[in-house]
Amino acid sequence: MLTWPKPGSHGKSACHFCDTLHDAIALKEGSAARCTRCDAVIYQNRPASLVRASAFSLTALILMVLTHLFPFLTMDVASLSRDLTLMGAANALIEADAPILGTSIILFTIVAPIILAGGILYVCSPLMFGKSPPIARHIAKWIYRTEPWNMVEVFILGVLVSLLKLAKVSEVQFDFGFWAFFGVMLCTAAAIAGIDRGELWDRLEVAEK
Amino acid sequence: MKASFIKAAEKGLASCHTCGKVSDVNLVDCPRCSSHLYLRKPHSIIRSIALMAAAAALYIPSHILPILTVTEFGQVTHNTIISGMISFWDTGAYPIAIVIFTASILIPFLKIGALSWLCAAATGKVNPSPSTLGKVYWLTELLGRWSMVDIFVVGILVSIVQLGNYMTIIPGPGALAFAAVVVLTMLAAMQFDPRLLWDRLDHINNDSPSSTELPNDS
Amino acid sequence: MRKAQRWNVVWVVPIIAILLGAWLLYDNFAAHGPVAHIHFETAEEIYAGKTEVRCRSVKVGMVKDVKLANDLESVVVTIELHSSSSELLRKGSRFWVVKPRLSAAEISGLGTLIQGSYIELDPGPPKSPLHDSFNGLEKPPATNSSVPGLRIELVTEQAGLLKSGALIYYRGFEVGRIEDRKLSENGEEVIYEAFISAEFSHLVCKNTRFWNTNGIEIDASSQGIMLRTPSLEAMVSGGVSFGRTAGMPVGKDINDGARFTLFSNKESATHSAFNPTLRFLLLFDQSVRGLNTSSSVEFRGIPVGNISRISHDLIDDPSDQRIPVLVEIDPNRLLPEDGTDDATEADIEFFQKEIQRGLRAGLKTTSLVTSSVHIDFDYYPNAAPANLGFAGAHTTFPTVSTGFAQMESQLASLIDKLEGLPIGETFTSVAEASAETKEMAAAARKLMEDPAFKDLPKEFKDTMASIGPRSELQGNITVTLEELRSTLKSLKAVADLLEEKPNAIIFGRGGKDDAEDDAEDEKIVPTIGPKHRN
Repeated sequence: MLTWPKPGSHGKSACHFCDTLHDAIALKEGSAARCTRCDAVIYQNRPASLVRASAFSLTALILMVLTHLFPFLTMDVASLSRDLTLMGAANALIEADAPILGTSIILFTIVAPIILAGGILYVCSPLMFGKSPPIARHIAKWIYRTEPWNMVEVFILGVLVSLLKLAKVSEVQFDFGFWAFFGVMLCTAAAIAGIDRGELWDRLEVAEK
Repeated sequence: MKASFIKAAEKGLASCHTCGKVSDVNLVDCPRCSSHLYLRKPHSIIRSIALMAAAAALYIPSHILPILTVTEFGQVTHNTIISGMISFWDTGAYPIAIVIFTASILIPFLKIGALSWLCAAATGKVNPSPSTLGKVYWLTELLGRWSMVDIFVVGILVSIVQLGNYMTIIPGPGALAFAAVVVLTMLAAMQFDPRLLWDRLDHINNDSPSSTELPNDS
Repeated sequence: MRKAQRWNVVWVVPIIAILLGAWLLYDNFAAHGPVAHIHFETAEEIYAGKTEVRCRSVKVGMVKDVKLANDLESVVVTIELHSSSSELLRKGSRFWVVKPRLSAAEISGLGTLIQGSYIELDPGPPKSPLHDSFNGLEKPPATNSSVPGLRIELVTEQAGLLKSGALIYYRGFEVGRIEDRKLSENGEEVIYEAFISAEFSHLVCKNTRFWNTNGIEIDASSQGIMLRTPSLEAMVSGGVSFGRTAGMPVGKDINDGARFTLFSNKESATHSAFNPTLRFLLLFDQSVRGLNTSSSVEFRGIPVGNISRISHDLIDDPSDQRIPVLVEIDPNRLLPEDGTDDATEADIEFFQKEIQRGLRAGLKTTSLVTSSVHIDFDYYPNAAPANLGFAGAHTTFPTVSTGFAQMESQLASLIDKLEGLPIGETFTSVAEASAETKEMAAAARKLMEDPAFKDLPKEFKDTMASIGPRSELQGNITVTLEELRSTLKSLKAVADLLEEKPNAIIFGRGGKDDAEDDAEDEKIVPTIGPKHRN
């Protein structure tokens, strides 16, 4: 098992909060390296990091597909029935003369998690076998650039808030799309948390040598 | 023992903002991920302030302009963020009203305030303790994106409440303004380099008078 | 340094996700029901994924797709029904769009202003084979094929004002409606498909006659002034009435599919009821002024036949000053039905016998107002003995000179006498005057004893009855007024409803935005979809 970072390396690491310089040390599985000055976590050794990252990101992608096949919720009022889907919400905004809002929904809830989960899967699964896939570094860059823009959980909250607003005028029923998206939220979070950023880059570096 | 704390910047070493690898800043590009290397984020304070000002400018209109318009049997009602929150409170949905209040009113306000305060601290106008600073910064970054919840609610309602003449909802200009506020505050937080706070702290304490002026504009 | 391959339990997660997804997809697709294609002229109000398919107000499916047909002349709507409703798609199932329809004869589908239009399905006959391609109807059929009732055909030469949806009346009561109309195969006739609801079906029998009731008819005929006003609806889309002419027996029952002739008015219907097989020539010794070929021929008030011809050609002898009138009689009116329509020996014998008892043909006043007369067979005990005779090719029937002409001559002589009265001399010779007064009184008494005079008040009464308070005329007017009132009432209720709730849709009030008015000035039909702009 590769204890990370690679033992014997003379790498340094700097705290991203206070810029204090440290020697990178190898960590046991499950422990974290903290800054000596400000106690912020600099890097961690997550157990079974690659496996977890790959598995959860794969699940996230599968669930992402399912999210779009089934509606989130169905509203019934006066024998009119309306379904809510992710693309439906974005489309509605685009058609209602708010294309920027519609596109932003698409970006934050569809494009971002796909890049995130897809990127992690793409990079981590070959790394399990010590191989680095083509353009891995570009993909890895994009993973971490996209991370702050992934708003899946915010959308879930939005659905719940809307639900409460709609429930007083109509009958609302959750459909599988909502639960699938909820799963996407959990799995993407697990995939990101599953592997430390530094570890990912280090493993890439090692695999490409 | 403060003397044992050495900044990477003092040694001319930059930690890559993308992959974290510590390398000599003179290499210009990170050897691992080829992103541009710099000791501190360039023009961090200025950019942060500019983005925040833009966000603040849009904050007022985003609450005054309606974020959605409900048409019920020909009766047109304009809803703003605040009126939506009040209607939730009035109908007894207290938790939702609190959520809306927090996400759409409180958080952006606090974020702008917090970032302004951080900028002031970084330029020496105020001198709070570092741990406070750290916590504030961490909180700001964490909560930023949750303000988008109102925008998503608008999108959901617009798409689902299309019931012909019974009830129809369309988005209003306030929605775009508010989305812009959220995005701008997120960018402002991303632009802010927290290391500048510690730089300022060291500068004030002046234990080890740093002869090298830390490059703020590189 | 490679870590040992070890299967990590976390792989269960994606496996579960795959299985779950697969099961859901299978479940979803397996639940799909039968698919059918319907051709409509236009896809107005039909939206893929939104418009429902209903059968008797129960949702049974949904529109899946709407596209132009290959020939670009029509629209193909693809619907998918719930799998439990698959047997509704039979040959003969009918589909139409239920949407708001406002016309003078119909206000329907207003509920869809709020809910959105839907496609109604009327399943075909139960034993039909399953089918998946249909031609949708552009208008809803008048009655559901499952509603119990009588379905017959009415045949006429000209279509006229009568449209499908027109009502069928019996004595002013609405008992059914016209469902459809088409040309016959040879193109010579127009065939209407009519539906009579079950509770009234027994009113239609073999001898029932159907006639058109649209339009106001003013008829000054031997029956008096007839002002016929049908209901408001009938005036707009036409109407059909039926009945049995008085005296006609109930014929055999009829079944679905029976054919009846549709007469253009009540008279021709009534006249057609006769089977005039017995012809008599009547020779009148008096003026036949007021008699024409549409005058009726009655037996003590019961219509028994028609006048065929009034003409001098009917007798050969030019010196004969009597007026010949040829009448046709339906013997079945007078006698119990003997199973045949033709005149038989028995019929002739019957008339012979009755003539001995005093049966004569005479002219009777129909209406003093129009001074029209008709022919009436009645018993005159004092009549001179007579017999059926022959004149040329015709059989003559003995007549009497009646009423008016005689009265006239008597009145004339009375007036003469009055004029001849020397007033001056009256004062001088009272005795003379009183003697003449007595004579006058006797003449007047004779006049009053004349049976024609007795008929006078009766005829007065008849005339007054035809226009008086209980008459058919008044009845018709009242019925029409009543219907007008209730129509206006329901229109007002609709207007109230519209005003109360979806007022802005139609009348444009209530919206605070000027831009709304533009949207509201468009059609009344709702737009389901995010298309409203502010």
